[in-house]
Amino acid sequence: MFAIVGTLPFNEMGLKTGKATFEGGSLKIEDFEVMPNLGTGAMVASACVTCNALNLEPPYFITAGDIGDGKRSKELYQYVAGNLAMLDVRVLAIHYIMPDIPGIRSILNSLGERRGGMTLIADAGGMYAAKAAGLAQKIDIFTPDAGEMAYLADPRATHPAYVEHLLFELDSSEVVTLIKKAYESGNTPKILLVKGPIDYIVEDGEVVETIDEPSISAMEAIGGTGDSLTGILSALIYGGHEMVDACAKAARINRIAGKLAQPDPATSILDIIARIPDALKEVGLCA
Amino acid sequence: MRILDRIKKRLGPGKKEAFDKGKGLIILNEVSEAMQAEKMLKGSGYGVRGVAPPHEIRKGCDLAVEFDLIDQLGVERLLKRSGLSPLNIVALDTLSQKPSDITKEKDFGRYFMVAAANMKITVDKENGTIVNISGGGCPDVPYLTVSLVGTRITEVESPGENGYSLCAYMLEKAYEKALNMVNTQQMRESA
Repeated sequence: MFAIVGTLPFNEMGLKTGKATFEGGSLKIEDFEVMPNLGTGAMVASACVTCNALNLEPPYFITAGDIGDGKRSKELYQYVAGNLAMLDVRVLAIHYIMPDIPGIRSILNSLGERRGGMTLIADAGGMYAAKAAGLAQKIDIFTPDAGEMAYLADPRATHPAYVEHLLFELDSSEVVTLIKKAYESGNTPKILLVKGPIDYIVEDGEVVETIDEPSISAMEAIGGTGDSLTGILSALIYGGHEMVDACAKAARINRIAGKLAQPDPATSILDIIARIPDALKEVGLCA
Repeated sequence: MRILDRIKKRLGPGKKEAFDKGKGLIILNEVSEAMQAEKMLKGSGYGVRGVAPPHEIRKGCDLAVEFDLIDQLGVERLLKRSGLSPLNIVALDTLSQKPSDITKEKDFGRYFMVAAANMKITVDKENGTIVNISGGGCPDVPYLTVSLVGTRITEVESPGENGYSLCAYMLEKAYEKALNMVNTQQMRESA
């Protein structure tokens, strides 16, 4: 099973679990239907589209409505920690959720012996929580941007808002410096996919591949392009791609989907998600 | 000095060990204010407790309120609404640290983008409309995006009014800078 854990921005929505589908611009989970914008909605929609194009089972979505007060995020942590052992999860992606150190610790502790057969991907709040808890090395892949890379590189920061000024002021061309610093601090998992003008694939602290084509500068401004990347990546791993290979392919597919959407900084992420099937064809992953 | 060496020097082990990770302290004028803040925040569902502030940040009160840093924006808003003005709010991990106040701007021709820490806001120069928000990882970012995107930055409620988290706090910083840029541009055009 490919499971995604993350919140949706609706105060009235309680805990929901089940297969997610994305059709006609709408993401559906149980009886709830939403048009995704940035965040977990965009991530799950991208994962659904990728799974569908590759003839994979759709993701199992574990979600709850949270508008930022963190109450349902706590419920989500508790539910996942209490129920993960009963699910046959092979790939688990943790996404937008209020970063909570005991919460992420409880999820990781609940995995026990089953952790070995599972690929763990953390982005957004899931990544912030794992790093803040000092548990980055328990995760397999983080997908930070340059600003978040500064957070990982700052051993004392417990949120990107508290990143040392010097690190935030580094130019994006100095991402490799941040990667080295983060790795030395023990605040990275085995694999990093650092997204930006150049995407860096990092294994054990070493940059093993960079991807910079096609180069679509407007994508930096479009909310959700990092989420679509994480959705594609997670689905590819669920489809059997090795982690480093999946990172490189996901980065290319996301860029190609962006290029095909011909975006400007006002483009919606939905326009890019709609192009993922064509991007998968362009890299030869489906007919 | 190489950049990596400078970073190592700045971020090397300090004299003080960190307190609980992810915690912050609200420093108030008087003990009574700290007690009032603790009671009010607890009543609103926040996990807070009264603690003695470390010597180096004592500025008056001998009682401070410890809270989860991630809740900073919501906590600050409640304090403000209750008429409480903290002397300081600091991260306990690194007593000298405050949320970053640095912003970066990027020009996309018709649009400009402002980044603050992990948050970015993009505005149409021609009409001042917020066209995209990106970044972040806390649940209020997608929530705030719904109300902000597609609205003129001069007419929208600021993210700080409705957000709760540190991501929203940084979005507020980016918003303030972007609003300032739009206002400056409008003043220049009307001059």
